[in-house]
Amino acid sequence: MKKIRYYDRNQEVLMPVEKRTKTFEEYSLGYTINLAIDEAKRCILCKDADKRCMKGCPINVDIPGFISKIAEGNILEAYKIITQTDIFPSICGRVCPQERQCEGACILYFDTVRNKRNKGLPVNIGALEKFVGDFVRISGIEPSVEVEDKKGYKVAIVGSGPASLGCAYELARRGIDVEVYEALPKLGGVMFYGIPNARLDKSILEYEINKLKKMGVKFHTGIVIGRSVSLKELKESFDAVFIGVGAGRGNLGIKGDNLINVYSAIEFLMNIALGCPMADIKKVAIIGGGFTAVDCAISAIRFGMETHVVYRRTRETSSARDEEWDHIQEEGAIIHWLTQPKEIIGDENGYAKGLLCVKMELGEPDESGRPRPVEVPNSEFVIDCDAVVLAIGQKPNPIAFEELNLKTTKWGTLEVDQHYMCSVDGIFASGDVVNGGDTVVRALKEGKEAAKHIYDYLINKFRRS
Amino acid sequence: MAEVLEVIDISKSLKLITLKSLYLSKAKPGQFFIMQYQEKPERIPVFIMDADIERNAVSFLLQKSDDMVVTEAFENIKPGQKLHYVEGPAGKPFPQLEYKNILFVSINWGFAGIYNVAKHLKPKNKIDLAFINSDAVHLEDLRSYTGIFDSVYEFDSVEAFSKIDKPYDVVVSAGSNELAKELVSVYEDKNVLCAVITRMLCTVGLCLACRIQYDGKLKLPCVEGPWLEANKIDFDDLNRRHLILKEVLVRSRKS
Ligand SMILES: Cc1cc2nc3c(=O)[nH]c(=O)nc-3n(C[C@H](O)[C@H](O)[C@H](O)COP(=O)(O)OP(=O)(O)OC[C@H]3O[C@@H](n4cnc5c(N)ncnc54)[C@H](O)[C@@H]3O)c2cc1C
Ligand SMILES: Cc1cc2nc3c(=O)[nH]c(=O)nc-3n(C[C@H](O)[C@H](O)[C@H](O)COP(=O)(O)OP(=O)(O)OC[C@H]3O[C@@H](n4cnc5c(N)ncnc54)[C@H](O)[C@@H]3O)c2cc1C
Ligand code: SF4
Ligand code: SF4
Ligand code: FES
Repeated sequence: MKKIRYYDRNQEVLMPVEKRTKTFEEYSLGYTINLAIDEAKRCILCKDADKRCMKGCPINVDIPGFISKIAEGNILEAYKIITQTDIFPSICGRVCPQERQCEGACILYFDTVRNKRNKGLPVNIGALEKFVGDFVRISGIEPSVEVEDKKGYKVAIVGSGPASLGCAYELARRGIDVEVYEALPKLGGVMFYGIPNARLDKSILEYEINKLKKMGVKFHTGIVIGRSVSLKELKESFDAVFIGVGAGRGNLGIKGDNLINVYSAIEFLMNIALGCPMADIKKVAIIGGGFTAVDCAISAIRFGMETHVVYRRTRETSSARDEEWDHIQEEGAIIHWLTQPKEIIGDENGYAKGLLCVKMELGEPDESGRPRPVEVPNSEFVIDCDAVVLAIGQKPNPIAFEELNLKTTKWGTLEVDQHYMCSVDGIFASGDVVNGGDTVVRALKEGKEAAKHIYDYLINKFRRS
Repeated sequence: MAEVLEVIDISKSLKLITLKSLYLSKAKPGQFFIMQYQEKPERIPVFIMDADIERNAVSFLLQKSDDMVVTEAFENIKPGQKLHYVEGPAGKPFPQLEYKNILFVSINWGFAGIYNVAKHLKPKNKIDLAFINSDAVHLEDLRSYTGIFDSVYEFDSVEAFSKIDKPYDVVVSAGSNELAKELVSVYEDKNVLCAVITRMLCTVGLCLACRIQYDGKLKLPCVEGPWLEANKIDFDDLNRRHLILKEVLVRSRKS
């Protein structure tokens, strides 16, 4: 029997710390072909992968299927297998929090069937997927997508994040005309204006979007639905409408948040992504513990700022990728776990000059089963800083849909039925605007699923009973 | 991309530019748009002064300023050239209310926003204009557009402008936050609406860069404005943030 390689997981090559903190270029340099083949050989190609890694993957990529092809050296075939479900391997391979998804359910690491920790390290599924996507892109191979004959229907898609792109792909593939309306100058949603180039090179996004353009999807930028064009007008001129406006609205909500140099994470990141001028900041305190906080930290470090991250819980409860916490720590970020910010302190001219915090400790579990952080008495302290960034959860932005009074939940997310249809017939939605904010791959999957229901609505005249 | 159809040099510091844009030409009075001359923004919000849906055209007034990187580029802008990017129409149209007597107060480029709104309100209302000359923009420069107003008053500074002895139901200002603040103290019992000026980044309500304190609450002028009730705006907070940002932006542009 072949020996199981529990421990010798191949890591991707990283740019040295001194170099990567000075550039917005990607710092994770990926696998060579030899490393990829070697890592692929670690996979034991579980017969019940659908109960393991594949179940952990929100979009159910055929993981042993594509990995076995890499092991054979047939990268193009691996690409075809991945893209049957995940149309953006280069992107998901980079941005998925794999340790909580596919890799967290790899048998070498965790036995999901017996529900117990195994002794080894998971197959580096993310890096392999990224390798496959990158290999095909860089080699200039243009895998063709079969597009069905035109069906004579047209669908308008609002927003250009992963949910919208997934929906556009699926509809275009099935012969439906698709037009995407994006408010901002660049396409890709959070993948463009949120996730920094250091983690996801913008040229990859451009490449993937070009593929959709080649399939006939039309993109319009600079169109704010709800202002430039109303949702009602869209509904009247298209056979169906899909809303994928995300939940990107920034959030504030701490005493002192109106001081000068206090930013929402979205403002901070969007400024950088769009190349707008930034204030001259020396020391920044970033509040939050998810993807957004880590991305703000990656960016702040690269601008030479002394970077503090303040999170009231622990690393284990963070939604960001585990290795990224390691990376920013190596790069010099000062991370304050179990620390609750209380107030931003200002100087006499209204500039932020410090963040008052209190230490926390873990107490009894809350409704979610996670231990609730409670304040440690008399543990207040101040972090000196000249800017504060709030990376504490986003809200859906209603301007695209407020005028049609679509039903929303108490969190402001759009209410949809099991077909992703909103309270108005013919208007569909998915991604963050429905789920309240999750991951790229989940938005992608839900966008594709919504497309199937839109198709059903158009072709089979499915109507809500 | 938006093609420049026409450029009129109104004065040394003011240009009237007409662009071709299907979407912008559908704008309603009081809306603005974002333009980027080149890929690396300045993302500049400007009012739509006139929209012609038949020609798919919109015109706007651009007040040149030494602080703007694009000023030099605009110096030589010619018909046939293209602006890298336009976005909009953005903001809510002017609240479609009926008044009887309206006083519009304009300073600087504010005339562009006012003109479009005034034209729209004229049939059902009496509209007067109080024009405050500034170093950059004089009433004389805009004479060919002021004919729509019932009466026009000219002032040489905000200070020189005081209560005009007429019963206005509403006072509408554009072009300066200081002016709007001043109007609130002059017309304390009147409804003063102003086009609030804040720094705008996303213009979709995502980034909160434009946020102001309004009636004690957060308001986003990019989507909920720009026309807001001046007496509810915390101008001290707004001006402080805006002035500082301006300093920061100018500094970073020059470095
Ligand atoms: C900073 C940050 C980092 C993240 N990092 C990761 C990560 O590493 N991995 C991961 O899996 N997930 C990450 N996430 C979460 C992930 O990005 C989102 O779950 C995902 O992008 C949601 O996709 P979406 O298509 O629903 O919406 P979005 O990506 O938010 O896209 C919505 C688009 O709609 C546009 N829009 C909004 N209103 C209008 C309108 N009225 N008219 C026209 N267009 C409009 C917006 O401009 C935007 O482009 C991160 C999120 C943030 C904020
Ligand atoms: C709703 C609205 C409508 C406007 N309409 C007009 C108009 O019709 N005509 C006109 O000439 N001007 C208009 N402006 C003002 C115009 O956007 C700014 O004045 C212009 O960007 C530069 O102004 P400045 O030279 O005074 O630069 P400063 O205010 O000194 O700022 C210098 C730099 O800061 C940046 N900046 C300044 N203001 C803004 C802003 N609001 N958003 C983002 N970046 C900014 C620019 O890069 C600018 O070059 C409008 C502003 C708003 C908010
Ligand atoms: S899409 Fe994401 S979760 Fe699924 S296999 Fe790929 S990296 Fe893992
Ligand atoms: S669980 Fe792990 S070893 Fe098994 S198929 Fe999936 S990746 Fe391979
Ligand atoms: S400019 Fe971004 S919220 Fe108003």
